[in-house]
Amino acid sequence: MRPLTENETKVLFEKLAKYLGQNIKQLVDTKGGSGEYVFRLHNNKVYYMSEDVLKYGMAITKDRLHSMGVCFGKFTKTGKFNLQITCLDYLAQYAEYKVWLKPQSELSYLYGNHVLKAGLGRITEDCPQYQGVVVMNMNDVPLGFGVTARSTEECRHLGPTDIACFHQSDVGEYLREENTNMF
Amino acid sequence: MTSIVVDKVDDLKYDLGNLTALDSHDIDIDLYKKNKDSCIKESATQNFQLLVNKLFQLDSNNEDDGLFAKLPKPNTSIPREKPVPKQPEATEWEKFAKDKNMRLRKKDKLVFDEATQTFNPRSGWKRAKPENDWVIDAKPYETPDPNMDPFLFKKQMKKKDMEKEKGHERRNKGIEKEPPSQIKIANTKKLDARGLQTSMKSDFGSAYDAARLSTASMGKFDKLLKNENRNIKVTGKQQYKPNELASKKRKREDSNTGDSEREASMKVLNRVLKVQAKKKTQIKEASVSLYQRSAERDKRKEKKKHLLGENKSRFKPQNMSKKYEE
Repeated sequence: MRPLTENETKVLFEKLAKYLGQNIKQLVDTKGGSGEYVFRLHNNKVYYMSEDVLKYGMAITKDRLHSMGVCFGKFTKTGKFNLQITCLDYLAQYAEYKVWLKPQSELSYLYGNHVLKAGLGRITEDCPQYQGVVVMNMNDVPLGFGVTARSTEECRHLGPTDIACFHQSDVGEYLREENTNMF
Repeated sequence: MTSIVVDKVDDLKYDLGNLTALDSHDIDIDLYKKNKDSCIKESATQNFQLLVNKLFQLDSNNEDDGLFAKLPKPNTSIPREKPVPKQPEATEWEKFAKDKNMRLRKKDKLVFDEATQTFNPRSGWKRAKPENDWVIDAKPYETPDPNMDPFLFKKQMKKKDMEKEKGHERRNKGIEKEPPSQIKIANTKKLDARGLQTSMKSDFGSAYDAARLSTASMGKFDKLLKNENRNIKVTGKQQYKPNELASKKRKREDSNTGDSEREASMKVLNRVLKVQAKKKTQIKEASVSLYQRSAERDKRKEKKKHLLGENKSRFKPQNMSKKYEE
């Protein structure tokens, strides 16, 4: 476990900024309230944790430490950063743009399919094209995240089978990817 | 038609296996001078007839395709096409063995192992181990250090012997010296991500850097080449920031140790957000201008229709049919 280098921090924030925009500050600038929160790298994965959890984690040797805090995603071998579904709680809390699904298309999304226009219940006003969004059902339960295929304006004129939002990750992965070490 | 009976003494030498016959008589010179062709043709015809007669006297099989004679083994030896292969030159050891008149016996591959009462290979995998391998005589006068571990010494000696053997093998093959697998110019231990030595190119680079740094002024007053970078990258292990957060007490004591982690990451964040915001406005402007352009184009189209009088519906009351449906 170690803090991120400046370059790694930059790559991480660039990815998070696609979903959270200015709201990343809420994640990073955690001076007041319930203690300080930090990002830490362990086994190429990025974890977000409070100062208390960090202290517990530091007491465990590197090879015995499996995970701590919340896994946000991992760095690829080429130095890119991939977000994982495990960070959904934070994404949903601070996301700038959101997409709501109709109840009948929820299951299809949870099987890893894109969001079609027919399944689109609501979408945040003024959402641009290719914007990172959090996908929710009508009861405001976050289901996953993705990227808009069209802007909000263009979505109005789409056919029912056109893709409105590309799937990136969904909570169905907890079952589908049970074998891989997600946390 | 000529007869199969030949008017000639049959004293040819036959080699029926090769289907040949040899007539060792001289040619009648008077006849030959008169008519070359007929002389040779006649004797050839006669000899061939004799050969064929001989073939028909052999045992034969009568089959559907015809008569098949059983030929005897050829008795003329024909010279070989390729030269005789050379014997490989004797190795040092073979010469030595010959000089000493040594008899080389082949050893059995399997050896009986007393300990396990089984036959095991003499060498290699699953080989029979000597019974007394667990204890070795200490030979304090042979080892470099009298207190040396005799097992380790044995191992080392074996390795030495193997290297010696390898050298002999090279000598027998006529190789002077084993070439190094990679030539290193810079005497630096630079390894790549896989732990292998870096490439020739980077090796040259590091050798050059090392040479540049080796002056008294550490290369400060050297003449630079065109486009040459003065800053020499001194590589080392990457240093990461400490894992723990600086406590408030310690931070107050030495405030000039630099930013706290939060401040440092906020700096990075602000830079990222600035770039992001700039990109967003650019996209927005582009999309707005796109919208304006398409709107203007539609307007122009309408105007054109109006001027040409194509759009006659403008005289009718609009949405009339819809109202009726409702």
